[in-house]
Amino acid sequence: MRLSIRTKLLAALGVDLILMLVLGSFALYQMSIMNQKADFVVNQTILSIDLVNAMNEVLLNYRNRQMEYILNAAPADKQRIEKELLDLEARMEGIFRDYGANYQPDPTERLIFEQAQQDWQRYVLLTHTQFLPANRNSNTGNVHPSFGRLSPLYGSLQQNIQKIRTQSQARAEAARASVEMAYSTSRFVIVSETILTVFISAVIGLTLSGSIAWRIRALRDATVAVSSGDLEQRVSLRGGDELVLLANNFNLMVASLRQQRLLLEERNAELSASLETQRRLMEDLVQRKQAEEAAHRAQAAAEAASHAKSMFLATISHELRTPLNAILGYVQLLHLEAQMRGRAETLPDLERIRSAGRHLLTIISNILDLSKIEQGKVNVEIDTFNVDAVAREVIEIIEPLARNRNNTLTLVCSPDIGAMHSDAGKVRQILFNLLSNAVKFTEHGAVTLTIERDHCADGDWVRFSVADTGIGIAPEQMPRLFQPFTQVHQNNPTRKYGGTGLGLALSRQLCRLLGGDIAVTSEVGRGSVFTARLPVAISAAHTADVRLDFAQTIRSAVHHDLDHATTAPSLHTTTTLSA
Amino acid sequence: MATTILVADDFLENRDILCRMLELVGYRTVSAANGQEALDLAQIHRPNIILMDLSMPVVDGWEATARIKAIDELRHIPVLAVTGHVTPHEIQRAIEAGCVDYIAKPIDFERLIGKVASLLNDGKG
Repeated sequence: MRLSIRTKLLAALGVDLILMLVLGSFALYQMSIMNQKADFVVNQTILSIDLVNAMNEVLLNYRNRQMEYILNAAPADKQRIEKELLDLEARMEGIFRDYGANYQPDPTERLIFEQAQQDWQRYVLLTHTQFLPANRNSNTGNVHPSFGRLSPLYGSLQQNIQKIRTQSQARAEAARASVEMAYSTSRFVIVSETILTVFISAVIGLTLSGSIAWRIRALRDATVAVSSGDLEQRVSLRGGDELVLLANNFNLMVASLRQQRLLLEERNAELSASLETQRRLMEDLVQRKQAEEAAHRAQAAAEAASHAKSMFLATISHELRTPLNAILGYVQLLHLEAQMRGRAETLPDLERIRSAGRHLLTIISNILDLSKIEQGKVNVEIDTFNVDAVAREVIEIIEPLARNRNNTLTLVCSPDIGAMHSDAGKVRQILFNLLSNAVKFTEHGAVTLTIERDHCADGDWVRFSVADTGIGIAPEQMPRLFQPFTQVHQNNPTRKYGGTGLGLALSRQLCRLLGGDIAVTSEVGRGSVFTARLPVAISAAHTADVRLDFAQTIRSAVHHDLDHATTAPSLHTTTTLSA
Repeated sequence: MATTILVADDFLENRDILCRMLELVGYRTVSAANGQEALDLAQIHRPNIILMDLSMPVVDGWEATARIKAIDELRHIPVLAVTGHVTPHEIQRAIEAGCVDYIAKPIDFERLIGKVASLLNDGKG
């Protein structure tokens, strides 16, 4: 039944109301019937009995007056009685009139009544025509026969009145019985209809409420199940009322919840996956951080160790130089004395000591320079100088060494080479290192220093190329070439070349210090070309941390002396002295 | 009278080498172990040239040079600075104290003789 609960409830109420209306109207009808009957009793029966009583009374009085009329002899009394008789006649007439006006008797009763009326009229007529005239003058007290003649009429009258009375009583009894009948009928109907109404209402109410309660319980069970997490619940109710709508909406809601939960679970899974990823990332991060810290510590330790090494080397180098200087000085002195005193046989040995000492001094100086660079304690002293002049100075120093090993030494310098704005001392040191290396590893060959200008997009450069025709460097040795303390030829059977390999390491450091770098190409057995490429003017970035020195006039000389002191191999004092 | 050269150096071997070399080529030498000694000996011997090591105890080379240059009788004597630390800063200080030139350690004797000879010639000139 596709009706709403409201409709159902209203329908039930309507049925109840109709039943009650029927019941009410029936009761009303019965009441009106009873009322009619009661009215009838009041208006007709009682009136009829009253009239009958009044007629009876008048008739009795009339008869009694007639008797009195006979007995009283005095004419005054007779006149009074006549008058009284007339009054009674008038009264009887009034009763009859009333009867006719207010009372609707049934035909039988009417017939009796009319009979009684006719009897009365004959009785009165006889009284006036016979009884009164006969007795008016009589004062004997004897009953006149005329009175006797009235007696049958009187009896008939009495009889008729009695009949009317009996009739009225019967009617009253019938009315009473009818009222009682109506009462018992209506009581039965009302009681049974009330029972029926109650029963129907109960059936409707119980059915309706049972159905509603059952379906609400189904819904409640479903909500309990859903609230405890079972989202597979589905409520199916029959009908078309609000509860079914509610159930449908509930199902929709549960479906939506299910979907939401599904989404939530998916999202949850994603979230936990992401959390896991995050946790792993975090772990990675922590590990990396720890690794970084370890690396930092290791680096710091390494730097500290490196610094300590540099410090140690610097100190040792300086401390070594003082006694070494003394040794060199004494060797020089002995050499000089031997020359002057003609002891030529000692000269080669002294020369070897001196050479070895100078070599040692060079090594120490290089170590000192390298450690200074590593500690960042080197000052770049910038000045404008003539490239050609610096190159010639170095060539001059290298020349004797080259000659000793039967090498030709050539300087190729383009005429437009001009000046450089850089650290002349360090340029000189670089060139000296490269050239002395070239000479050292070449015998009966050629060493060429070529200086060119290089105009590039990134500025103007000066390229110093030192080419030799010496033993060359194997490709596998190249990577270690500029490492300190690694002489690439140390495993070579021809380990006749001195040096520590510090020269190249130092040269590279110096080149970088001046904003350039050093490169090498080589072929085993054919020779090598070392190329130092330096900016014509050192850039501002490089000069930023450089302390500019004001003693520019003497600087060139200082470096000349320094280089000369550490490198110059010449010992031609005799010629000077003898001069 | 032989040319006299005052050698001031706190390191005995250095003094010895310098003196003996200079004596080998015919100079007379006087040696001092610090700046104060150099100052005293200079006043006594009135040398033709002073070879002054800069890093010395008691009175260092710069101080000694400055003091010598402050004395009228000694002012004309050329002072040649001898140093193991060839830095422009040290050289600048030496020049400012009154040194006429300098020579780096280890001393190359040929150069030393050359400088000494030229200083003596300048003095004579």
